[in-house]
Amino acid sequence: MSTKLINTLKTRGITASEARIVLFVVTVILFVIGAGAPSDGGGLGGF
Amino acid sequence: MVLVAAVAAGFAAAWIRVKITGRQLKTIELRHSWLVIAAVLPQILVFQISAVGQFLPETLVPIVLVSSQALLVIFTALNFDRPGMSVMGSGLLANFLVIVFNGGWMPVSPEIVHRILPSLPADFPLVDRRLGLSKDWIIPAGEMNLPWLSDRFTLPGWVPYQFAFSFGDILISIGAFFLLWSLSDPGN
Repeated sequence: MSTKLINTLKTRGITASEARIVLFVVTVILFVIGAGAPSDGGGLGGF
Repeated sequence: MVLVAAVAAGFAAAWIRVKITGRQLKTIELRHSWLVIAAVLPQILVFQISAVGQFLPETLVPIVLVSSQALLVIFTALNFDRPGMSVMGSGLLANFLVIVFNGGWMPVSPEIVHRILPSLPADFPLVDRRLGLSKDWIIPAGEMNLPWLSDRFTLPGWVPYQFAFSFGDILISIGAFFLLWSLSDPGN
């Protein structure tokens, strides 16, 4: 199953439209990381 | 990670919508996307990579945070007509304002820190120090500027994963969801 999926991805490649959507999503992820300021219990060095 | 979940939810909802309706996802052009990369890379280094963040003097952190968010404000203004961007931009502006008016840090009260870290001893000295390697500085609620925009919300106590978030974070999550949802909009 996974081999078939990998072969399909290899032969199909990625279209320009799909690449633009990936870049768009990555941009939005970076935006929310930079704009937001939530705090959780992680990375609390020294506490 | 919490805000990234809103992006994931928005994308999943858009994907399900196009599968149901038989359409395809359509991209939305964002003007000057490079601004986001330029703004957020320093933040990733300072706040996400502890090996870097722990060596940066705390006096420089507010400069990184404020200048980074100022670039994001410019990016938002350039893309204000995009779906959800007005809500995301309002959230960013709320966080930006409270950070600027509190010395370049997102303020959080000791009471909220105890709520997200219940194992912390009650007498642990928290006031006037940074919350780990985060964007937060611990300030008594009575000494904050714009306290209603600070990291003052938490999840119900029965939720195992606890974090504090601001009104701005809520708006950013809602805006991000609708921006991703608009990928499935037929009028896009």
